[in-house]
Amino acid sequence: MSVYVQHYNTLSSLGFTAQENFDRMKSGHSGISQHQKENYLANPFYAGIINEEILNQHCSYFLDPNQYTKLEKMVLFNIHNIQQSGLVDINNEKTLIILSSTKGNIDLLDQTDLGGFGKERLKLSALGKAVQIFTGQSKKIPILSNACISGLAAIIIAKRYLQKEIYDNAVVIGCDLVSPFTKGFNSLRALSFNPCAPYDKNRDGINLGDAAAAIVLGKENKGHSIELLGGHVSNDANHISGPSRTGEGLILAIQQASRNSNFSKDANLIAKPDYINAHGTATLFNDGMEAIAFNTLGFSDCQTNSMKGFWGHTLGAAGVIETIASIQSMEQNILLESKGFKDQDFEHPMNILSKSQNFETNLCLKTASGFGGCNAALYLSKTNA
Amino acid sequence: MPKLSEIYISNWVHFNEKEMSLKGVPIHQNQTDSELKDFLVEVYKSSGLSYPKFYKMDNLSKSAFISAHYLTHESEVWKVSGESKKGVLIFNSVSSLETDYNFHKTYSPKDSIPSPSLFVYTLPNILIGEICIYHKIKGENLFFISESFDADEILAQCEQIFEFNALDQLICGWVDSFESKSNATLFLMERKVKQNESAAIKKLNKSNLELLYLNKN
Repeated sequence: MSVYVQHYNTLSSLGFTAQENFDRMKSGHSGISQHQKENYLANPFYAGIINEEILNQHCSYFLDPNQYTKLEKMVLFNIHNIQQSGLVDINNEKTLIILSSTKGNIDLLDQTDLGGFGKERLKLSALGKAVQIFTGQSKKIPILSNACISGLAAIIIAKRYLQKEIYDNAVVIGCDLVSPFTKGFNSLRALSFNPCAPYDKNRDGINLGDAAAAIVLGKENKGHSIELLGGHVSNDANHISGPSRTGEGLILAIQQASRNSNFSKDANLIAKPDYINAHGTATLFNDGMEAIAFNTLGFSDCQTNSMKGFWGHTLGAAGVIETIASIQSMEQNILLESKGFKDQDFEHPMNILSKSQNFETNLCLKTASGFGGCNAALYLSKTNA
Repeated sequence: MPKLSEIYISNWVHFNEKEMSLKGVPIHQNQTDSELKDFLVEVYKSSGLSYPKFYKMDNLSKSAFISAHYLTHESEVWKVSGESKKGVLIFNSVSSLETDYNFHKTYSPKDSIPSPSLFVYTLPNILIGEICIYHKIKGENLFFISESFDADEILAQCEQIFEFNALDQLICGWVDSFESKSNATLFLMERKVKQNESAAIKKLNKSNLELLYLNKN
């Protein structure tokens, strides 16, 4: 049973549709800009923030902006986009909706009187409830919360449900916000106070970004000619907040994702992709770990990029938003620059895209790694239908 | 690939602020009415574990970690299973909200310094990381948020995990900790079980999950 991409939408600091996002990325724009918000951080910082007033303008014709939190509006904007597309009936009992988020409405904690929404809304399960009520679904909406692999892992899970023929369609929506709460990344010294520079030898940390992105999967190959192949989730079993030094967990995830794709009967033969959209958070250790893993697998010459320089690290949305842009890259035969990358890190050489270029990709590997030691990997291929 | 009908629940454990029980039998009770954080340390000390990292965990991770210890410590199969053949699947409703509040308290007063050690625990899957590190589990590991314990949802995920990962064993269950109360129920699910253990094992199905969750059996 094959699973195909049928539709997607991206809402980020770069735009309100996937096309708008991709067009701006192609032309070299980034949604990351400098912000001065003293309740977030004492010093100015770079982040990809969605303006809530503009979001309200985009949402006000199908919902009351005062009734929903910023993150809920971002999710419901995607739900509305899917409803408008007419491609899938999201209320059909054979349609799975799955959300991925690390923190849900955590921004309410720093608003006066919780923004007037009440403390129930702080529970991560409330996010699923909001979607359930908005759409009038009878079934509960599961939320995957696996740190920074949440979005990619949710896509892998959704694909399995379709393979098992439990559902005909799946809608995966990843979402998270920059908020005063995320100053915790600064306390871990993981935040950069410059635009982030994934894989660059002078990289010094992450930027954060708001995003909500949705991908619709189905059993029919219609509209996009992209098939999801094998995926896998692993754990480093090494450290709760630092990546493994050997990249073993990520290697395991890629190896098993390759085996799950049934490329070869030889389990030791791991498929080499044309293009890798890696995690590339721009921390010293994450990017170094990935480089070790890709070198070990013999993938260091594969065209590789990170998209964090366009939106920042969008946490629970990252796996979804980046998979969508990878799909767009395959569809349009363009690989995007790894924004922020200038100088090769010779300690861990990789073939990082220093500028956007025409390139035909038939096999893409998407990876993610996160706190808690988790890793995820997924292969995508172009179909010739 | 194993089917759901080939998976068994070989052990199960309950933990809350009042007691720790194994297969429904209390093994440690909170006789002095200690607070949850102190009771967790009491249970840890009586467990024979020597793992100082336990002390830095939040109540959510401690509850999960100590429950996972009792769930697996007598299983011979657990000790010899391959690292990639073991996984962890956990559900709860409030994520890490208690630690979120505690972290928030460290940075909300003006000019105060947010606590990095608390921030790390503001992700629910950190508890999975803690379990994976101690038990050297490298297989699939997922954390789902759900409004309440839902046997159907757990079964559906278990089926996928066993089938698509060819796992031998899975630590699976519900772990919530909020407002100084914990509610953990973990199941050890496996596909290879010894015949002579058959009296003590349960088939993995909805009614057994619900019965065992309610501690009725």
